[in-house]
Amino acid sequence: MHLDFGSDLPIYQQITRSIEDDIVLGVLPEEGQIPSTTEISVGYKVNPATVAKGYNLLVEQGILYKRRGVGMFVKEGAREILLAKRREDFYGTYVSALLKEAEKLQISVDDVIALLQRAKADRG
Amino acid sequence: MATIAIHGLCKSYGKTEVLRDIDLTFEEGRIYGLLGRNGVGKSTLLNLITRRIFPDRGEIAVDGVPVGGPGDPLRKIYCMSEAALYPENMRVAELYRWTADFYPHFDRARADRLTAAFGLDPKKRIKSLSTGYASIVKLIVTLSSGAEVLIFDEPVLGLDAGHRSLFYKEVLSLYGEKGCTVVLSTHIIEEISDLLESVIILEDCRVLASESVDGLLERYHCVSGAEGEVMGYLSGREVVHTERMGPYLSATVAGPADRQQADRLNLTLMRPKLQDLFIHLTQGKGGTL
Repeated sequence: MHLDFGSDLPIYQQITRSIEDDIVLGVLPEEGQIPSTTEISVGYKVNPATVAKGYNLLVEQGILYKRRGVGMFVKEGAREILLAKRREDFYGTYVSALLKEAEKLQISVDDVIALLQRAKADRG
Repeated sequence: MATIAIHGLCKSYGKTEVLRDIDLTFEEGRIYGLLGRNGVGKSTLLNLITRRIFPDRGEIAVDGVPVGGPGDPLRKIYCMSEAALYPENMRVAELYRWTADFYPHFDRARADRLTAAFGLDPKKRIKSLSTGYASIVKLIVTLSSGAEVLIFDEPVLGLDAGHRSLFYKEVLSLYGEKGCTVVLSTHIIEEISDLLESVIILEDCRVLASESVDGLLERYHCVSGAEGEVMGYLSGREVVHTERMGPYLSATVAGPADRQQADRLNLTLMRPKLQDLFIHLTQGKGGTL
């Protein structure tokens, strides 16, 4: 997990993103335990309520669940939920942003398509 | 756990008014930042709460029991202050034994662990401690006091970066364990802004703000870009601060951000930082905005 205190994104969102990334990458396996709110709180020097806010959001989204007296765990099926969500967000996050940047640099959509085809060929 | 309720508090030193009609509540189990410019009255407020000095008017109560009244509500509070209040000839280890007499829940094991962690020699006499270690012994006693409300008045004076980091972690660790109420009165705002749940800002004898950090920061936003465009965005808005750098202008604005307008004008929007917002909202003695 990595928190960037210079970033404009609220800490609790950075926490949720980090956990989601680690689940997608397999660093946090399903049914595996994640660090406690106190551990993250002390480790990054942030208020535990902030950490809890992030965790609760992920519980609501079916990514994490709480085992009473034990801690927070990654829910079975969480990885699939996250992959599906990220596939849906792909257009908005990457494609729109790509075309917006291209427009700034006066690169046409056709040029972008040509670049993508070049990338496809390079990857072999 | 303990709630501190302050109502109508007034304090002047001779003709100088320091606090006027202060109404404040410290809810139990939260980490508060008490902020204010030099000389605004933060220490005065804390000294009034712990009854080292007395108010001209107003009430202070801990869990509904007035301080200074029967029932000794102050035993629920431990306050470390800037002032050197410990007997100077006493050795650190003796100080822990002495404190335990007044605070029956004093956690000697924690005090010993922290003493080792900070590299403090428990055989040293209080008077021979450096500025940094004088602060360290005070904060160790406070963290180990077992009190439900811990008040730290300028806790990191003279502490190096490593010790400051250790202190913040120990506060969070204790808070995670016990859920005590913590009040941090400090000038080093940016270092603690993520630790705090709530913030209280004193300015010009009054409470300028008393709310959650998130709540306060959400009421403002920062915008920056080319001067002409920014001026267009600012029109009709309450501007707290502007900063000009060549052709660029950045501004802190009250109210919610208008993302669409900012996009149209090619402006960057950012959330304000607590320390910057604090500086912009307060001006202290002799300052100008």
